[in-house]
Amino acid sequence: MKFLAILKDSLREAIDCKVLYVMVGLSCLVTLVVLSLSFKPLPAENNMRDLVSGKTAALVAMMSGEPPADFSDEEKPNRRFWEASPFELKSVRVAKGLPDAPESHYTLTISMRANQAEVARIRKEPDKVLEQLRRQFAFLEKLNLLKLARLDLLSAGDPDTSIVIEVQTEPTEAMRRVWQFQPSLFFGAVPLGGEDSFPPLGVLLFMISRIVLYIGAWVTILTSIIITAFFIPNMLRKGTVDLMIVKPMQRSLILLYKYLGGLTFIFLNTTLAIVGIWLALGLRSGMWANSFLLMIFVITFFFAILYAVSTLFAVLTRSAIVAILMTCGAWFLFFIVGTINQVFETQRYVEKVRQVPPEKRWGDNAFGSVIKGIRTVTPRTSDLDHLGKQILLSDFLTGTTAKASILDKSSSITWGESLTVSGVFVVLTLGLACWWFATKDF
Amino acid sequence: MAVLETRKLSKNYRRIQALREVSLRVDRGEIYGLLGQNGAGKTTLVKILLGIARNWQGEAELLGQPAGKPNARKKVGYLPEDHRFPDYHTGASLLDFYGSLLGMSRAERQRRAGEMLELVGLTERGNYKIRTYSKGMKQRIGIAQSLLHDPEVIFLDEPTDGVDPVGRREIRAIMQRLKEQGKTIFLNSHLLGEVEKICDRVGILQKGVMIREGDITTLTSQKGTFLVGLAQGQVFPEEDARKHGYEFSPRGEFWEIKLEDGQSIDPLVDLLRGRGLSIRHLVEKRQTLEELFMETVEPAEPGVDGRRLRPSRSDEHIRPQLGS
Repeated sequence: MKFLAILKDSLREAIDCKVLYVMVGLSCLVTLVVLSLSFKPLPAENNMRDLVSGKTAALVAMMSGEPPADFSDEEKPNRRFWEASPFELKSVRVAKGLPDAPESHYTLTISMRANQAEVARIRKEPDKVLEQLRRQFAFLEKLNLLKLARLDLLSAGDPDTSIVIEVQTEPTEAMRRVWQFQPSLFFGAVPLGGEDSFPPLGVLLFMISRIVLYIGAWVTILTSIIITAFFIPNMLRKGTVDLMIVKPMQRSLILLYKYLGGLTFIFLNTTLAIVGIWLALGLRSGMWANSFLLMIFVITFFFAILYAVSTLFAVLTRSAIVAILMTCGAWFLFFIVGTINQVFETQRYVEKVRQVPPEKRWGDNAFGSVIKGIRTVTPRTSDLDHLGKQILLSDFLTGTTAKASILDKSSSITWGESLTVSGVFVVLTLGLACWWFATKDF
Repeated sequence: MAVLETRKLSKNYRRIQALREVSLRVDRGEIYGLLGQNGAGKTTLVKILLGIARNWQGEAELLGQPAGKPNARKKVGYLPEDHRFPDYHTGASLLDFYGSLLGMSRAERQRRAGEMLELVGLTERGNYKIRTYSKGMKQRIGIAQSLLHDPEVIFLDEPTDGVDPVGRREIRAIMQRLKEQGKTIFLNSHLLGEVEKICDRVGILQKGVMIREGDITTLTSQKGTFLVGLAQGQVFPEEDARKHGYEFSPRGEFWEIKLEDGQSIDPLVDLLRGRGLSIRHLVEKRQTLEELFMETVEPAEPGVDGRRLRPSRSDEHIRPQLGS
């Protein structure tokens, strides 16, 4: 009951300063904008062309942070890597179902660029080229985004100059996620992007939610830091603090409840915004990425780390301004450390994959080691962002969060480690604040 | 039974000695007034008893428990001197909030809040934000919150500060009623007239030292000094009185008689009656608490220079007029 009283008090304070109304208003506005999104499916030909060329798979791989497959063509170094694929879609036929629908079965006719000698060799050993084509789809098959029912080498056409392959596709439950849709705002009034090529719907929704989440979370957290930074200094003002600590409660409990009160306020505000956007995205796209809701806890935990810093400095200095400055400083420090470390992590992974000799690797240099050391003991705000991104991508692309590890090969970040290190930081910071508050004369 | 007691209580704020071996005892049902200049240590003493100030030496007990223990604070009400209530609250919501922190049930909070608002005369303004309250109203809501949970001991630090004379009388009446209910009140105040009217006992702190303590009647009585008044037109027999060894001096229409050790006022009464004079006034003279206080404490408050303020131009302008 005492906790609820302090929570209610914090809420009253936040409402009184009117910023809460602005935050709720912004959340509603963003939800309405997302609710006005429309998604129009593109023809099957556009979709199959990108699937066959490997563009879709490459995009998905790239989004997940995996280095793209090596399609390098020395003759045309500026060409995008999927354009180096030897396969090209010739035609698409609906085998079963409605035309241009992601849920239909399709028969694809694919040609392969090859010279006369290669054609002759392939005709002699067709399995190799079929396997090469299957590998091009393997990544998407692994994610259960597509299923190849049959691959046949056709004898039709000019037998000396071209190879023609017929592929029978079967839809999966997640097929819609790799299908391309044209997005538009305000119920189709403002089309977004070009006309014939878009990212797969899963990637598109992931990008939209990332933009909304990134900007939204940034604004929410910054505003929350400012609002909540006043809670504790206001309570510690001479003449106010006496009335609080004279109540029959442990001082550390008062501070802890005040901290949890601030946190609950942010949790409720974040829940309102995230649930609103999730509902709007789901209703408009037909895809319900439940992990999007997990972002409520990720953002709240992210804020919990920063609010612990704010609480400590508020108790030490009784100044809201100092608390805000130090919290923003800590936020920046955690971000910088996390980002630089991520650069080194990726570099280490790339160097390992490419088998760069140890003496030529810079991913393991002294600066990288120092950053790694700092990151070991500092909260993992960047990691939380990264892990949240991976889960979201996995969910939007595959309909499940279980594939997150498949999509994220370059990183050694784990939820367990990130939450533990960050949690320990929060506990230590709050412990210090509570000790100071409990032993101080007022 | 002692409701609160300190023994050789000392407290330092770095190099400043706020309290020096202060011992006092307040019994149940008493109204105790603690007097002293600003910075004398009055608030520090209260803060120690309530657990607001830490790290002190000596002994301090409140309701039979070591001072500062949360359990002891359950039955204590407190109105700090420079209180600042969260001004985003209304009077009613503030009482509800503090009631929750005191562990009161919702029904009890609602009932008591209504009663307290009525007691301090804020029923009509109970749902207004505190930021709209005048200083006197803030003081009233402060008293209401200190009495909300029906405490056994109430610490009031300058409760009438900013309150108009009518309000002061109401607050005095509230304190009197609490005393009748058996509550103990510990009062810090600079308004010595108020203290004199309401307190049973007082203590005077100076620079952290308890320099005087006792019940008001004892402290303010001036043993051996009488005021004598005769009927209109009658003349005080100065010569005869002097012959009987009395020292006296005129005080307006009265005569102030100072007795020496062992001397009695009775022979003088006999003398006056023997002369056929009518005694209309005869009282043993008492000091006011203010006079006692001014006599007891040093002129400058701690931390302030002891010298007189240099007169300003306006003072110099006024002085001749005052002198005339």
